[in-house]
Amino acid sequence: MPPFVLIASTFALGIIISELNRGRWVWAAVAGAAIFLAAGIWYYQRGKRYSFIWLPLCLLCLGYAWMGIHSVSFPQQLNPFLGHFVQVEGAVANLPSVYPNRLVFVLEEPVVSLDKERWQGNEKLEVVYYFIAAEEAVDESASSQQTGTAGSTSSSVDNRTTGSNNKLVITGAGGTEIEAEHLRSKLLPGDAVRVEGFLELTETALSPGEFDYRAYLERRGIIAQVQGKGIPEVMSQRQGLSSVWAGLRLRIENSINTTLPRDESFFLQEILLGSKEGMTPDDRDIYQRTGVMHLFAVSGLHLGFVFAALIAAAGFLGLRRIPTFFMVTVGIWGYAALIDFTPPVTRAAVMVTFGLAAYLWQQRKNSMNFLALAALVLLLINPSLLFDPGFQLSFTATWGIIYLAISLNRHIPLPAGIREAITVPLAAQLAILPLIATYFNQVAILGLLANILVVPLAGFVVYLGVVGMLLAAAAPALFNPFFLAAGALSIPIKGLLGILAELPGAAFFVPPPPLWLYLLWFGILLLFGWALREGFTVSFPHFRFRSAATSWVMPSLLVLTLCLILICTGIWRGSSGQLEVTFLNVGQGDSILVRTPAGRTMLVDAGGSPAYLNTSFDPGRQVVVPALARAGIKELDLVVNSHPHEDHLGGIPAVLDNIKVGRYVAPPIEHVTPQALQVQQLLEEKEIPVNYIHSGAEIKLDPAVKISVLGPPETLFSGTRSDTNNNSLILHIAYGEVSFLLTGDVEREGMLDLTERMQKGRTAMEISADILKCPHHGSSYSICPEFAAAVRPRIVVVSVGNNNFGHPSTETIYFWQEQGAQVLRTDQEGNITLATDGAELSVAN
Amino acid sequence: MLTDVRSAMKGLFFPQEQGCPICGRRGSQRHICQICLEEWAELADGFLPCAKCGRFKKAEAGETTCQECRENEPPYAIARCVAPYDGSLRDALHSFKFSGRRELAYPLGELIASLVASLFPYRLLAAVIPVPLHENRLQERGFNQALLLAEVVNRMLRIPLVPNALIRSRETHSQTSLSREQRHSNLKGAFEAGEDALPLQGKAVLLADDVYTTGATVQECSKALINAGVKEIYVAALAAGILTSP
Repeated sequence: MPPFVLIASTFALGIIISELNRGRWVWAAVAGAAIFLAAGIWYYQRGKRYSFIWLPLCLLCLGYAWMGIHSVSFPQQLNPFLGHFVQVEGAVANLPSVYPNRLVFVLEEPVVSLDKERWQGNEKLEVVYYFIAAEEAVDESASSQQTGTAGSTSSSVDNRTTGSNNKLVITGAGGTEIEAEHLRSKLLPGDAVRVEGFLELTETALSPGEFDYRAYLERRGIIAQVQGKGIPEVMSQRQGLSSVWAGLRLRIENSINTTLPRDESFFLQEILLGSKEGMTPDDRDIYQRTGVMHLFAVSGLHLGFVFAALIAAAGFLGLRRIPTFFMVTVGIWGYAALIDFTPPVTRAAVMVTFGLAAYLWQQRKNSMNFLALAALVLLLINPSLLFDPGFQLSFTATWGIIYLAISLNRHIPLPAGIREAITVPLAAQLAILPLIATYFNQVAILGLLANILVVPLAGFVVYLGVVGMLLAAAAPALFNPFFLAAGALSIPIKGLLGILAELPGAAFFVPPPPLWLYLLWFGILLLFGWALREGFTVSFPHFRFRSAATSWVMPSLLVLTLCLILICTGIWRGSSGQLEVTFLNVGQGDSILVRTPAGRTMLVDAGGSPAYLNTSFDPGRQVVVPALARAGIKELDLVVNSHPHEDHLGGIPAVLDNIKVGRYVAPPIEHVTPQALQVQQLLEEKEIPVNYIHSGAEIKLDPAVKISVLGPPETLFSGTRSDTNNNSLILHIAYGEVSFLLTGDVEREGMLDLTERMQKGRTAMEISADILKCPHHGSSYSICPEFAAAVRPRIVVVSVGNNNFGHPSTETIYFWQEQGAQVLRTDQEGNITLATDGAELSVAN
Repeated sequence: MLTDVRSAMKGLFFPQEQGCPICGRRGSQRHICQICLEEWAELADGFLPCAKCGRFKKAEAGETTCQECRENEPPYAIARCVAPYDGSLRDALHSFKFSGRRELAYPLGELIASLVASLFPYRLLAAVIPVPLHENRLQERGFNQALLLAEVVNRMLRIPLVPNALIRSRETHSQTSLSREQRHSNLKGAFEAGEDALPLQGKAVLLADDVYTTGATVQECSKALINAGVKEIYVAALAAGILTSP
């Protein structure tokens, strides 16, 4: 085993243990490291045989201690400042990023002040300035206080985009305006600035498997967010290497922007500079479905071209060893600095640097050793990176390429060069498969094909782009032919990827594999790679020699295929044999997933963001579809829409688009909105049968589970406060002795009517339930003592998020608590799963 | 001191891989690489082993056995070798036996095991017995090469190792300078079966050696074992000579 592989992996193991027990024994670990080191030296000097085993133990302790020292958490002293309008002074850490709805940058060494209170620390703060569209801000000024669940939040009345020519503008206190792009070029790294705004904690994941933005920021030393108001004030500018570099990046971006139209310019910036600001959710979907997301993380592919160009230049100039090394290294690390030393680019830079040294000084090049060394370097700088998806993906993919691709090459009878175009993506895709399943809940089946087709093209884009960047750095001319050519190439690339992503079965959703499947997968990959590398047969005239590894090729390939099937189908989960009802945390809105003991599935609503909020947050795409994937659901037997309001219907198009749906059920309500029409169109397109049902109907999903429709009544409500709400579908789900009542947004009138109908016994129905979905997100219109007396729930679930309607009303919460029910809220608990075997009930989230 | 640090750094950043034990090529660690083995397979190109003693003879000859075996049938059942005692195989065996590279036992033993597994009914074999080396020679060399090879066969094929089934009863002259007849007479009565051979009565065994030259040693060993009641003897060696006569 190459030395750094041992060193880095034991160090990483120490980091994992530290994370698992929250680094409680840092000083014990330091002492342990010292003792193990001393023991190692002592035994070594005595010439004992196994003195080397002390070194990994020492490194394990060091990893533990390093993680314990470096882990960042929210300082208690900052607690009193939270939620207040504070002033923050600090140094800009990076070039601000401009997203379609916000400008974001990081402040180092912040000084937070609130009146006379001050807090100063080494932790970093993220500063966000939101823009909102001007017209909507006027129309719906009351509704601008909204916070979604995925970080795309908006909460500003000061900052807005003015409608003219679509420029993003931040407005200061005195009505002065500054354009976002202009502000960006003024906030260079190292500058001391003062910002004002609300200090907030960022979104954290409430349910397992969700993206945890707070943890993501904490891994980068960022502890909280300032929602900036007004215009940041630059107090002093500092000229340093980082500001020069930021200037260079701005110059390159500027050159790309002036040369290319908007879409092509974004694409080129994504691929050359790794910027994600211009990537639309649709683009992201396409890249994920085709498994080419790695192209947008600047790494080995990019540095390879820089390396080749610089080596050629050094050869042309006739440079000797040391000047060549110097020139190439400066070029490589300069590029890495341009993209802010992300884990993939730093990994590649370390590997290229040592690879170059090995080449120039005629040493054996051991890529695995360099890979491990790069991991060690990054983990020493920031041990938390070990838990960063970008870090994990980059290192695992590279490991796959080094370990598997060469072995695969031996068995593929194609000329070198063409062979690598297949084996390298194959090896990388195999290695990262379980990680992709965990982080993106997807397996890109056509990923291999897409990579084989697109990577060479992308390589060409990078090649042209690198030359273009050099030109832009040297002479910031307005027109850059290299960028133009590279931008033109983006059109076939995006077209090709678009076609591949649309192919049926290009990718499908999978649940995250469990730990044992991870261990099995990588164990088998190790065995398979070894068997491929060392397996061979030599024929003598009288017998055939088969190396020991040969006999493992087929068995390991078989188990590998089996694991692949397990990961792709998720059948390792088995069936729980229970009725599971999950209230998904879709923010303000409803989405309830029902899974019967026989494994049949029904989704009631899919959340949705009201159009007036002008947010890109789509709970259907961002919450419901991933949650279905994590649950291993590829097909919904039934999708129910309780009523056609945006916060119930809005996510349904994303569900219909991504998941196979057997049948669609809705109440017979006329409601003509663009969204309703979109759903209508999708249902027709996908030929999904639709039923409009009302009270008296029964849904036959699973013989063991009785689902009766209690509302709306046959003659629909009209003239109530909200007819659409009162005409919501009401479902009663009974399994054994446990029952659920799902009520949509029904209000007082509907609840009274339901209670009366039950009491008069006109229809034989049961409305008492153990678990009640609180009607209408806990609004004050949904208090009805008669209804409560008839239902008598043990648990009331309120599906609610940030909103301006005052949901849930405190009154309602008190009301249900007084009735003796336990109240659970999705905005506090995240996803809430209630599982029952027909007798016992368990709650999990 | 400075050179120590330098070499330590070199080992840390640019470690040497072990490579093939014969040629040092990278890629194969404890095993002989494909290229070396193909070279050895090539040594046997155009030859076929004699059906009895396994020595290599020209492929075109009509007879399946060699003249020697026809005139004077050896007492064992079949003998087989991996490749002719020539070229880099000869070099490898020399460095194994005479330069003390004991670590070659494993990669070479693997070859014998593979040979046994594909040509002999190895599941019926009750024991693997190394051709013994005399006490004096053992002290001089430090190890018995046949024993080391037999150990590998034992480990890989799970055939019980019975190292003391044969005992060298008297010192003999070095065989290298002797002719075929001289070798036979030199070895007459040099081996006898030990006590460990008693349980092997009526069973089939494997006799392991490094090189099969004239077959004198193996024939004497076989006679001793048959006298002790062993039913059938299979012989496996790494290398054999090439027969010039048909």
